[in-house]
Amino acid sequence: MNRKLIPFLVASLFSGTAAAAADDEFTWSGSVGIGVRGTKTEGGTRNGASATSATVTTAPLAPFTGPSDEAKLNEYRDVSNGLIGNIDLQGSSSRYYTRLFGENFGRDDEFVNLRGGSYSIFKYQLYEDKMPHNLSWNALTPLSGTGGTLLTSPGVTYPPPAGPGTAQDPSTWNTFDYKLQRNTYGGNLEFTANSPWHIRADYNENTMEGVRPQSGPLGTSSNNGLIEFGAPVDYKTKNFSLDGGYSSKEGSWSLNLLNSKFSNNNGMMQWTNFFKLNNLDTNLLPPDNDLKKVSFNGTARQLPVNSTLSARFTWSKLTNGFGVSSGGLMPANNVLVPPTTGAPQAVGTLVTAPSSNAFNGDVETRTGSLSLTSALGGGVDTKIYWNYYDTKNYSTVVSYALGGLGNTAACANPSFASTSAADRFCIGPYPNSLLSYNKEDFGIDVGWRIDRGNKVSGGLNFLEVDRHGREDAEKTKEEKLWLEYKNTMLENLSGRIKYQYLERRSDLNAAFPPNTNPFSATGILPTQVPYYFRAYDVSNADQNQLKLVLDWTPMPLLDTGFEAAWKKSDYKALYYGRTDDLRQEYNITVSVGDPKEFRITGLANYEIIEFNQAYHQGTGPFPGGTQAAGDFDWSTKNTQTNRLFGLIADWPATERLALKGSYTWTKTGGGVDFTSGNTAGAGGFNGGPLVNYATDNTKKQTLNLKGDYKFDRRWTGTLGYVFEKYDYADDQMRGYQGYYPYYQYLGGNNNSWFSGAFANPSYKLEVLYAMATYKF
Amino acid sequence: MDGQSYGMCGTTMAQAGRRLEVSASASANLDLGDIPVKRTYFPSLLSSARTVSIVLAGVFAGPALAQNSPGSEVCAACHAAQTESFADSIHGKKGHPRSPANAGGCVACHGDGTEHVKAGGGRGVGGIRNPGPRNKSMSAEEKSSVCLGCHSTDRHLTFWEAGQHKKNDVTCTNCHNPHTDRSLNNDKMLRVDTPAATPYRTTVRQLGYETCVTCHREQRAQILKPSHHPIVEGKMQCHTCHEPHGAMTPVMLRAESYRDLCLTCHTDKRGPWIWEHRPVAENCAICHTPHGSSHNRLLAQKPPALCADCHPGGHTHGLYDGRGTLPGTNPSNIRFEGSGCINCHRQIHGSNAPASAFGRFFLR
Repeated sequence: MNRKLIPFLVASLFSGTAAAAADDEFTWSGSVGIGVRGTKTEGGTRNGASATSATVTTAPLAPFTGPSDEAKLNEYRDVSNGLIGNIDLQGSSSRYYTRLFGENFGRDDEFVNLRGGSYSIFKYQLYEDKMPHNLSWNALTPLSGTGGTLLTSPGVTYPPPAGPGTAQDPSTWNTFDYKLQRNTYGGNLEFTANSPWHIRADYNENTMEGVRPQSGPLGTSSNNGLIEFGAPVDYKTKNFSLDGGYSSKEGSWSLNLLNSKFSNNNGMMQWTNFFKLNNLDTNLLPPDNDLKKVSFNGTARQLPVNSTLSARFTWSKLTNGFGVSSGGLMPANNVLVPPTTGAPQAVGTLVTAPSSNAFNGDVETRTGSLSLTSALGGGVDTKIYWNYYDTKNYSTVVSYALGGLGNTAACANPSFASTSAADRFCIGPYPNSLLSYNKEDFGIDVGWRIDRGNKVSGGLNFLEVDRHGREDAEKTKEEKLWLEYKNTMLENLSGRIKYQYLERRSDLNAAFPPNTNPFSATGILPTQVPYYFRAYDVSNADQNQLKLVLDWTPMPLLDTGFEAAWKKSDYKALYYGRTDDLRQEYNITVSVGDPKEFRITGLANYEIIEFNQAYHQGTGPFPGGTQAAGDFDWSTKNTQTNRLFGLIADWPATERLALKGSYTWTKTGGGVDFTSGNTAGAGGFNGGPLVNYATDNTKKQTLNLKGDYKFDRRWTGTLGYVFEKYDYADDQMRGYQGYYPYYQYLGGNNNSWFSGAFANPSYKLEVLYAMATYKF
Repeated sequence: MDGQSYGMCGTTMAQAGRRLEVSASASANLDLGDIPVKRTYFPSLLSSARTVSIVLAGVFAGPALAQNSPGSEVCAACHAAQTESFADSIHGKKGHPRSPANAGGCVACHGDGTEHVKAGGGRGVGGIRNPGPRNKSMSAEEKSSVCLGCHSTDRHLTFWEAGQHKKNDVTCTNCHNPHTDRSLNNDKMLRVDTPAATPYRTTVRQLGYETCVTCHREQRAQILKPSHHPIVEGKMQCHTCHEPHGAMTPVMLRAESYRDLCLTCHTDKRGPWIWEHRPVAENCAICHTPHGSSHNRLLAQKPPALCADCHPGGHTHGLYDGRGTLPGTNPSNIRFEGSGCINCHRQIHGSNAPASAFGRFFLR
């Protein structure tokens, strides 16, 4: 034996004991970092135009340079100038431990987490997590009072006069931000007392405050325009859960009780409706709710045939209650005399009397899941499973009686659509229709490990959905088959390929028998488009998926990965609706080098999604009838693409200096292409061409450089620089760049008021930061 | 290896116990050669008081393993960083009755290192066990068994056997590295082998998603799309929605359905509503794509194309009312501009407005 080793081994025996004796001492370690951040930001501007004429749609427009929007660069983070810091404090002894971590103190994205306990006896946690959610800044509105529940405007005549300084001119409007601040505070305490039993209590509160997008149509028709504005958000959700159970190597079980309460300090809001003669209109805001849930988890291991049986059962009840409104602000009649000048002559409250003055929401859900996994021997393992989900909506069924304004004696009862005529406006009667459904699926997965490097797997799954309260498809069945081969034989190469086939069939009811369709006197007829239309989420479909994954290390310090996915769905037995879709995605990763010396990683991704839809314009004959200028089939090809390229480098340049850098480039694109059976009018009708348009074309580049220098074992200095540029273009927002005015007059009584939100979230960001970190 | 018997700790120690009798004499032949001996962590001090401690340690340190196999001090000679990280972590705390520190230290997971030391070290030499992700000589079951020997009773592993990760041979060490740096709030000892491309973020924490996207490369790109959950910003993690340790649901969701999961956070969408929007009541993923989208609000498509998948029109002329589909043309069609259908149908998740206010059309 080496002479050096003997005393070392002997000493180590003692030292282990010495360590044990000294282990009761509570020792602290950690780090504190403090620094400063300088930020330069630039947001995209939302230019547009305002009308110069109140009556002529083709009159020249006055250009308007809108305010900038920096919300996107602050979407979920606070990058403002100022001090930055973090603390990571750890204390432990042989029995106890505690850890405090905090960062971004005083900022909108502050995070603090304190945890600790006594090993195997108890543990606790307290935390706070703040998150901004900035949607769009410097939006514009002619209304005042954004952030509250009453939005008003000084008497705007209808139609409003045009020209600089008038109500149509956005430069006279008020700015506001669509932004939310979401803060979570909570904690938990768990006791195990070094036993297989546990009991745990969790509590957290989540508050959300701010303004979110809201809007409302102005009149009774989609041709009456709309207005965008902001709705106040003042939410609080309180969650409490209690969990207890037993756990051993042979199995475990636990019971969990959860109560989650959502409350909204604002039940409704009102806003001036210019079309309805500046009367106050009403939007209802999300109601309070209360969720109670009981869950049982159980596992039994070491069963025959190396099996494990897992089970989960839950019961939950979601309730709420509020008074039912009866009236809505409506035109007293729909006489628009003359038709081109807009607003109705009189406005009143149209009452559709509800069958109940109170709504009691009550949705009860029961679920059950069982899974039996077994290792049969010979490399074969199986999983048999069953899942059941049953939700029943016992909420109040509310029927609204026929209502009318003006000459109500002439209102047809029942009236399955709103009716407007020279002397009256009618609506209803309507009952609500509540959805209840249950889902049941079961299946088997089998895997056969042929040898250590080869494995084949496959599975079958059967799903059935039964719905009550949905007329077009009460039952849906899905059958799924999947097969996979995995190879890990070679030391430096592994791969797997997976194929899946899914077949969905629903008992589609295009005709909607009259007695189940409250919105049609006769049901949907073969002379109507909906008769040939199938909703995408229930239509019969065949889907094929293929996925390939390869990981290859051709030489030391060189890792590569490749992944490809392809999914095609064909929707059957329909003439109109989504007909098919295709998704392809390709990923590559290449990593070269040793992270301890120098490593560079490159990654790339390409994704393309295409789906096709078919429609009909006009009243028939269809499908595929003679195409005419006002009666024709048209279709869309929708495309979305996504590209990602990234380079990340790690370089511990010296013993003290470590450098990191990354560059990412992402690009999205796509759009809608039309085809039409109408050979006249550029494929459209009514003066409007079917013009292709691009959607959500974005490009984002991020350069992130960072250097850490260790002055000594305690002090580290960090210097970093970030450059981010995000470019956005979308034809659906194109009007803000030119014709599309904030105030939009499209003729007749179509006057719309847009806020400019989301029109141009482009931005540029530069950050320079420095930090000193002390470790102890 | 029987993956269902999680007695690896006991088996290892028993085996090591038998070897330990050999190792006492075998150790006489050990030659550390030029391997540097680092004494910094375990101070080499001798005292009569500590003699008593040795006896006590021998009683409480577990079976013969602690006494006869090379202790952690020997491992530290070559693996100083790993030994230090082990001692610093919960695994190295003797105050935890189940910790490897009470079961021989390094040998509790890596097996008896006597032959390994005798042979002068080397990857896999002497039967040393390395359950790391790159070691192909151990099966997934064998690697997981090392951890599950102690952790099988952990509650978050209740459904490990039922989950997709176990079925797909994902092991504990694919995601966790017990020897990793635990600073920056990395209490879960997550492994990040391949760095993830990220935008600038204001958090210094080690984020869980960087571990997940090492394998889930599709999601790596999706979470970087313009509309995304705050995952890369550190305000949500993959495990906010998924349970990586196993769950009964197909993609290991933390709830029984997509809708139940989404409504855990989006509590204002729960309702119940007088007027329901049926796809909302059944499955949020009919309209939304939760990992990321190029369209605002995580929508799978932009309105009106999104809505047109289920609604052929309803308006007098259907979805397309005859006006131009492209803003900038005159006249233009409001349904193809801005937020499309949502411009008017803003209460799309449900409404409580009366029929007279077109509540059933989600207009108020």
